[in-house]
Parts: sequence; structure tokens; C-alpha cells
Amino acid sequence: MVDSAGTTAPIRPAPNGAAMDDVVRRAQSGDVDAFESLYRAHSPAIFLLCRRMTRDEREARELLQDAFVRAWERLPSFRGESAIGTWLHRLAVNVVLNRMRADRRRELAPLSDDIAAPRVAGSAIGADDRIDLDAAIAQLPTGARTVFVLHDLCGYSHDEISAMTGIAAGTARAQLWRARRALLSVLGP
Amino acid sequence: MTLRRLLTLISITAVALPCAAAAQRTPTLPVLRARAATPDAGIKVFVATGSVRLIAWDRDSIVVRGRVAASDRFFFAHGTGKSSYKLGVEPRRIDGPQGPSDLVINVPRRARLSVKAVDAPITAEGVGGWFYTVSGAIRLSGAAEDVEAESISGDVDLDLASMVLKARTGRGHMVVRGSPQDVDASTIGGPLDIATSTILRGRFGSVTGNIRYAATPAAGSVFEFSDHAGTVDIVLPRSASSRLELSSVSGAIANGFSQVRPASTAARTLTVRIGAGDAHMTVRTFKGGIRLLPQ
Amino acid sequence: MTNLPDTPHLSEDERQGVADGSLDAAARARLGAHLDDCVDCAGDVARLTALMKRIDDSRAAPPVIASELDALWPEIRRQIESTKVVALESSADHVSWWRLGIDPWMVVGVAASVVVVTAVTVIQVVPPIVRAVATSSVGVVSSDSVFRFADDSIESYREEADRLLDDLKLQRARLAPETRASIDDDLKTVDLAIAELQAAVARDPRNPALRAMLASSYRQKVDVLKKVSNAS
Repeated sequence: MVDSAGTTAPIRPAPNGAAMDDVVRRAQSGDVDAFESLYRAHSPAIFLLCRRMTRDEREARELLQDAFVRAWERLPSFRGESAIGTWLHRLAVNVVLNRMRADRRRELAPLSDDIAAPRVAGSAIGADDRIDLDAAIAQLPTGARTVFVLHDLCGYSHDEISAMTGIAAGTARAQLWRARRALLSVLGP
Repeated sequence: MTLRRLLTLISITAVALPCAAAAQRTPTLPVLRARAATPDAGIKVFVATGSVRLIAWDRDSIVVRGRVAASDRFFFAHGTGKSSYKLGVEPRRIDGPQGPSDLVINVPRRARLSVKAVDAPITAEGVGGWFYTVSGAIRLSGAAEDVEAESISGDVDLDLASMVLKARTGRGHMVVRGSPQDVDASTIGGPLDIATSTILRGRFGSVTGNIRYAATPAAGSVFEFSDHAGTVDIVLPRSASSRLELSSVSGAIANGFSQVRPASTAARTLTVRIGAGDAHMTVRTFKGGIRLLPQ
Repeated sequence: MTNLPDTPHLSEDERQGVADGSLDAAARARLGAHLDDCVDCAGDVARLTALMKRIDDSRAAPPVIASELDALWPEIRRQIESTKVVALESSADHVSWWRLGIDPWMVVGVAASVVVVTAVTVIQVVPPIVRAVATSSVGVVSSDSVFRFADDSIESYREEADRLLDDLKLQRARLAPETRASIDDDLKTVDLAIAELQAAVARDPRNPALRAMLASSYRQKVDVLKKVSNAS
């Protein structure tokens, strides 16, 4: 993504170490300004996660907001066993998956759907006949996209993905292989 | 009446009554069907009257057993592959009367259910999804990731280990037990009882029904109770660790934990910290009373 | 490199495992020997490896516009602030000491004495596990953003309720009489609560807690009406 000036903005450097611990402590005690620091430091990564899992910019923004509102409510229970970024990331994944479950219940479309070849819109092809990776990921079916984003982009193991999504680990592995094959066919050699 | 005549009358009655009852009972036909299904198949179930019971198991199949009213037809249709099914009971004639049918359905443990009934009670063990009745009771138990239970007027009894739970009823009695984590439950006029200490985020409401929370709030948990005219009772052990913010427009606030009372009768608000104040509970009413009580 | 047609090709699991580096050393060595001799498998694994590299590169530096995310913060802040408890009395009820003609320093002195006496009493009388603070005002939040959020919620719930009421008129005939009676009863209960809250808000328009309760009542009305559409 680039801004109107044609440049990409870097991610703001997050406070680290003791400075971050202090920010977290203040946020836990109700300091909204301290929580805002956490938001500014971690929202880019969380937004990217939401966008990649939902393929809808508007929904990704709503999920980002939901995730941080939920994080504010749950922050008192954060005990520092992991980095705050890891904790926020895991919480955001749960928020996105819960929304996907609620949507699926209305449609009765299972998460482990069969992979169809991604549909390629002519307008999505760039100057060198290659499609942007994000655009290609967005075209994956829901189940495959979820597993691919969680494993290859977020680094969760198959067992962790199985626990979060309810898909058997073996099925998740198969979904991942098919997602990669589908991306290969779209992105080219 | 002589003893002989009395015994004859009793004998005739003993035979006649069951026959009459049998004539009154709606005739039913047995049903037994099975289909293979994916572990997370989507399954829609409809049974208007009678009963429906769903039991989770660790097989990749759906098995339906029971009895269907002779006036009705059992259906069991599937979508693409083995991943979506619709089953249940429908009248043979459109707008025809429906008799009671009783179904017991085994489903894969991770199946996603949508179950609808009119006055048939729904019982489910170990499965999640959406459960809806008009007036039938809903009883859910076991481990299920995500559950939504709604009834217009039926009782709702939830004894679940679930991540997310949403529940609604009108006049029915709602009980939340088990070990859910994220709960959003409300009634219109029915009582709402919460008796579980695992909730991390809870939102409970009613318009005129009474709400009663009797458990130990978990550290870091956040609760919101809202009742327009019903009473809200928060019953906590003396060892609880919670910060409570209680407020009402015109209802009385009773604090059973200390000698402190609301600062004035005009401003009916009270903040109480018990122990280290690890949980956060907000209680608001319009004219219902609020009572903070020790167990 | 030559193709050895009699040698079985790598399985999908093995190709993917080589490409993403998830195999152990022994498996990598064994499969490496096959890749040295099999053009097809080597080509396929090379394509998968290139994809994995592209994925790794995209993970490293996600380009996101910071200003776009900054614009989302005020709404998050509004939602956080709106969950704070606010006093139910009107802000007009607060009285400034100086308007009463009372010396504030005398008040401080008296208050300090009261605190000391009370503390001694409390320590001796009240069980040590409980300390309660009575307050007439709890974290009053009176920013316009809180009103806007509550008003937006009230308005959107009201619109949804109106739309669902129109649907109800169409569906009433299909509902059983007992169901219609239950729904009517519930709607009457909720509407009465809404009317009382609206009257309270009219008397005390600067009270955000009342608006929050009004929004909550509208939400309950929407919940009742949504149940109707499932009943028919």
C-alpha cells in the first residue's frame, strides 16, 4: 500500500524492553493514553492480519477496532508470559475467527471447503503479468486462506491452528499445501 | 355394589383405559438413518413438536434414530459433498397439523449445528452452533466452541465449556453454568441466574426479570449487568477480589459487604472494592434494586 | 541431472517440507539425493521454495499507511470510554464550595480529621478484607464523543427496530396465536422501558449513562424482533 504521495510509511518503532513493560503496566491500570501507545505500535501488524484473513478492507478495519477494544477489556489478565505483541496477535486471531464462525453459521459454509482455483480478475494483473501476493491471497477460498495466513504469515503451528479453528491438523496441512499450489498457479514461476 | 361387581368394573376399566389412551396417542413410525459427514459438517435440524436430542461423537457420520408422527414426513437431504445437511420433520400436507416426533441425532463433535424447534425441547451435548425454539426449553451441555441459544418464551439452561456464548429468552428462565468464557445473555422478563466462575467477559441484561450472579469472578474479568426494573443480586464470597461500580436512577442499592452506603439518595451510586479488586463489575438499573451480598 | 523413471517421485508432503524447511536433517539429506537426480521434483521444489521466499519477504516489512490506522483510534477510544461507569445524577447537581461561601481550607482540615477518625474506626471495626469507598461521582465522562457514540447506537438500533417491525406486520398472520401473544407481551415490556428512559433523557439530556441504557433497551427490542423472523 502506498499513500497519495506514492511513498510507503514505515512502521513506527515500538517501545521495547523496560519501556514497553511500563506502557503495558500503565495501560493495565486504566491509562488510555498508554493504551494508545500500544495501539500505535502494534496496529499495523494486527491490521495486516485482519486484512489478509478477511480480504475486505472495511471488515478488516472493524475487526481491528474490535480486537483493540477486546484487548483493553482483557488487558488486566495479561501476565507477561509472552511479549505484548504476541498476546495482542493471538487475541486478534480469535476475534477474526469468532467473526468468521458467526458468518459461517448463517451461511452453513464449512471452514474446510474444497479449494477452487482462484479467480483472476484481468484488472488485478500488474504490468509484469504478476499478481500482487496480497491480491492472490485474497482470492483464496476462506478455509485455505485462513490456514495459509495463520501458518505461513503468522507462524502458528498446525497443532495451534487446529486448536484455534477446529480443523484437524491433517486437514489443515492439506489445506496449506493446496493454498500454496493455488498461489503458485496464480503468481506464476 | 357387591364385591364381585366391583371387581368386574375395575377389570373392565383397567383394560379400557389403556386402549383409550392408545387410541388418543398419535401414531408414530420408527426412523433410523445414517450418513457419512465431514468432521465439521454444517447440519440444519428442524423438529416442530416432540423432542430433539443431539449428541456429539467422534465419528465422521450422522445417525438419526427415533419416531416420527405418522402425519409427518422425515427428511434428510445433503448439499455438496458430505459437508452440509438438512434433516428433520415436516408435515405431509402444507399447513397440515404436526404430531410429536422424537429424534436422537448423533453428530460429529465439531459439526456446526442450526437447530430449530417450536415447542419441542432441544437438548444438545458436546456440540456448538445456533439453537432456537419458540416455546420449547433449550438445554445445552458439554464442550462447544461457539454457541448461540434463543427462545421466545422457553427456558434456557446452559452448562457449557465454551469460548463464546450468546443467549436470549423472553419470559423463560435462563441459567448459565459450566465454564464459558465470553457470555452475552439476556431476558425480557424471565429470571437470569449466573453460577460460574470462569467468565472473562460477561454482559447480562433484562428488562423486568431479576438477575442473580452467584460465583467468584475470575481475575481480570469484566462484567456488565443492566436491568431496567428487575433486581440485580451480586452474591460473592468474602474471598472474592473485585471492584464493583453500582448505579441506579431510582432503585435502592444495598451493600451487604460493609457499613458504607450510597453517598446520597439523589445520586444512587456506589463503588466497592473487595480484596485486590482484580475483577471489574458494573451494575446499572433504572428502577430495579441492586444488592451486593456475601455468600 | 538425469530422470530415473523407476524412482518414485517425492510426495506432496515431502516437496512442501523441503520447500518450507520443516523437515529434519535426516529427511532433508535423503530427499536431497533424489532431487539431485530428478529434474521434475527439483523443478517443482524450486518453484515452491521461491514462493516461500516471496512469502517470507512479505512477512518482513508489511507496508501499511500509519495515518489510516491513526484515523481508526478515535472510535476505539470512544468505545473504551463509553464503558466507563458514569454518575447517574446530572452534572448540574454538583455544587462548588466557594458558591456556598465556605472556606475551602477549613473544609480540607475538617475532612482530614474525619478521614483520620474514620480510618481508625474502620481498621478496628470493619473486616480487613473489605475497604469500601462511597462516592457520589464515579469517573464522570462527559465528552461529546460519548454522547455521539450512544446517540449513534440509539439511532441505528431504532432504525433496525422500525425495519423489523415492518417485517413483523407481514409475518404476524403466519405466527401461532400463542407466539403472537408472547411477542406482543415482550414488545410491550420493552416499549414501556424505552418510554421511561426517553422521559428520563428528556429531563437530563447531559447524562450519558441514561443514553447508554436507552441504547441497550433498543438493542433488546431488536433482539425480540429478530426472534420473530426465525419463528415464522
